[in-house]
Amino acid sequence: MEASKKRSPVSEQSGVEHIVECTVSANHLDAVHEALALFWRGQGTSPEERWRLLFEVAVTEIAANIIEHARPPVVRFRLRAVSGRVDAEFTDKGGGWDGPPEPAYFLDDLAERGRGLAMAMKAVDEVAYERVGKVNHWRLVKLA
Amino acid sequence: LQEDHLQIDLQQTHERVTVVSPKGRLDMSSAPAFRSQVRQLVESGSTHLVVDLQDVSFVDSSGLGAVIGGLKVARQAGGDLRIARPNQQVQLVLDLTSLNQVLRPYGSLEEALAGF
Repeated sequence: MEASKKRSPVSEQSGVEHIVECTVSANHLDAVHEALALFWRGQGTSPEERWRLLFEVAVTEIAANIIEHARPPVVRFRLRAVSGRVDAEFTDKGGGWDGPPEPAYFLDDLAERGRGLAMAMKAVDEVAYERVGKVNHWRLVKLA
Repeated sequence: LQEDHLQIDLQQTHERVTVVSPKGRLDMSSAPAFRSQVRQLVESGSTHLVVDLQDVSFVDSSGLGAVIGGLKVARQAGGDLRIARPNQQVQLVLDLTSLNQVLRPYGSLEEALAGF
């Protein structure tokens, strides 16, 4: 993760909400895993393992999708926990997504690509995409 | 083989099977190296592969795609590919994608090697 050499791309705020913000600037997901680890560590209680892993799967899939398809110079995202639910908001200035997320389904058992978004949609309660001007916004919500 | 944060160890068993042991995260960054390694193995005649996932901490859709790619390459060469010892995250991803029907995970290396 190149950005960490100058200044950590991950920051944290605690209070009523617990927030971790992160910038991913290279074709590596290390910063995403680092942010998730910090996010869970910063919470008072440890969530149930499967629930936590499902949120992690959705976050990493969306981050990878943005890096691979939108190809922005940087992706910024924020992880937030409030009242037991968690959400993630991503913004980037890469290429736009062609349309709203499709229903989660898999066309071919042996397909080697194209599962990421469907996995994210199965893993969390809400996946939303919006393009405002030249900025992409992705939002994930996992309810308690 | 060392590529980014993924290391891949290889071990030829006493039979015809090669055990492929990636270590680290099998994701968008490391999947190409894994895919390439498996392809080379199959092309060099190692068509029966067990991918030991014991030391894989995290798999994403790209990593899964690389394993599926390995399965296809091995089958096209008359062999097959099995996976063994996935952790909870890998099991979860296999469940989410229903790929556990295609890539049935074996709980131990011995089970994966039996009758292969």
